[in-house]
Amino acid sequence: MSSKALKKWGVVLPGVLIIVIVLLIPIGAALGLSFFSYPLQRPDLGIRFTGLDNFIKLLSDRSFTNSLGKSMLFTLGAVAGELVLGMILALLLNGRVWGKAIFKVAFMIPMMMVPVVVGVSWRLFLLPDFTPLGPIFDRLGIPFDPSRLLTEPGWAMFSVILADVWQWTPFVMLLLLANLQGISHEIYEASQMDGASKWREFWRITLPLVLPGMLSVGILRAMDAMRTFDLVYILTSGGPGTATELVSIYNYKIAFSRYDMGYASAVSTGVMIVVGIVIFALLSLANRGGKTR
Amino acid sequence: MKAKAIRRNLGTGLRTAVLCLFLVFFTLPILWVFLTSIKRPVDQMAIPPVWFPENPVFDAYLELFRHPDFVTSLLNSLLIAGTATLITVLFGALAAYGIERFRVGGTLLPNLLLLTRMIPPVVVIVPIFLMAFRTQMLDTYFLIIAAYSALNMALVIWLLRSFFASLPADMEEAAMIDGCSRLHAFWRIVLPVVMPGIAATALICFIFCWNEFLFAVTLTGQETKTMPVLTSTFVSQKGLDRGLMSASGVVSSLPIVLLTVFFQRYLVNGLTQGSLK
Repeated sequence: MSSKALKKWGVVLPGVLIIVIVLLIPIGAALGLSFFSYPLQRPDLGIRFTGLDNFIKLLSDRSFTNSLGKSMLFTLGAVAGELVLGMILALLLNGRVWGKAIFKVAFMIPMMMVPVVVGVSWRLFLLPDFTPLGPIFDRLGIPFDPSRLLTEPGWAMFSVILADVWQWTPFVMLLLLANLQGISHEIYEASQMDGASKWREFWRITLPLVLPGMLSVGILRAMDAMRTFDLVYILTSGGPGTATELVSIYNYKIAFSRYDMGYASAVSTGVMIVVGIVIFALLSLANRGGKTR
Repeated sequence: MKAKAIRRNLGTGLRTAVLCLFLVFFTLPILWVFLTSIKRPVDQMAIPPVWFPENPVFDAYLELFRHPDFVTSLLNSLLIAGTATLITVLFGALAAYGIERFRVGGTLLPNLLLLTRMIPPVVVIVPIFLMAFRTQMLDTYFLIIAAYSALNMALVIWLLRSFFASLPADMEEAAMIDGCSRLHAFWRIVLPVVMPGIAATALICFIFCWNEFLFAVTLTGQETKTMPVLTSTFVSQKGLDRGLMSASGVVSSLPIVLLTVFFQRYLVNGLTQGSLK
């Protein structure tokens, strides 16, 4: 290699090296460890090669498939909620509004907050013996007992999704707003000349134009939602029972409650395969979406 | 003409009203936590719940400030997030410059980098923990700072790449013809122009490091624990200490909220730039 090329690589190398050492090598280690038995709390047993045992166990592990299902449900619910609410907010803020600057700053706070604190906030807000929602619901005439929100499995999942929607809708709004502001006024002027209604204008002009933007924001959010850990860990720690036990929480519990490192690595490998397939599917969806435009 | 103006204002008012409802939704949980932190324990548990305590007290904050781990955790958070940001932005800027200007690694390298962003952190935490456990590196600043640098490196490179890309190469070439070295040109010409971009990127990186929990809770210990870890310990302590829990939440979020309010412009720029490409 010439010294010039060497210099060019030299600029890039430190950054890339950190990623390789801290992220890629451990992934290789996780793959390797998934063929071993490694109970950390029993040093006398040590590390033993067990072949495919962990994977055979994984395939029949109902808790694992259950947690995968929970993660999918969480991701779908959160992303759908965030896209719809984010779109509504972006449309509102794109129009004439009083005090726009205040809204913009206030809406950004949830997404910048420490996820642990978001978990704490929603926990304090929803804990059955602590929630202030009871009297509010009574006043509004909503016949719903808010103490069910964290104690009933279905509602607990709803609450966890709600907390994620609360934190990340502003992010979606921000990106969609940038998209909306990129649409030229001339298009709207033309449609107004043709006498199109606002409603028609949204479905026929605005939505098709921001659809690619929505797709990429949705994919971005979906990839984050699939990895969500801290918010749910603090809010419900997977409970009640396993109602909100996302796959990341299940994986964490195997490793750091049971200290079963070999099996935890197999779970990690399983997660990587599933996440890989989902990401591949999403990206090819995005590509196809780009082509039909 | 007048009717039209009224209709216009009506629309504006309507939109503002709907946004106000959303404002309530987005601020209510935060408000509740803050109000909880200044209530006496009696008011905290009152039925029906009390929103605004008649005589606010700051006992929870005093208790938090006196907590033996509080000062350490706060300083740790600052030190770890600060150092990791410095390292990530420094090496990230170099790498982004190389990728953008010299096309190092073609299109493959940046896409591979992006792929590392998609790795679920929980997948790498087990092997990292085991390696650190074996080499006795748990509870060291080095470990957690290296972890944060790696976690954010790909994002930082991508963000900075978009800022470098918007800069014409002619500028440096002109400087180099005038006898500047490449490094000199980078330092004197390129950096000042992309400084707003670098500031936005650094801010985002700092916030992500400050907010991180999974790596912090597994890799740090008594010496190096950060604010989110400290806050989480108040959650697991069987429930009665809600004053302390909420006070800790308020204190660990406050710096980030202030940063957000003051540097909102930069943040919006950085976040939209990086994700729309």
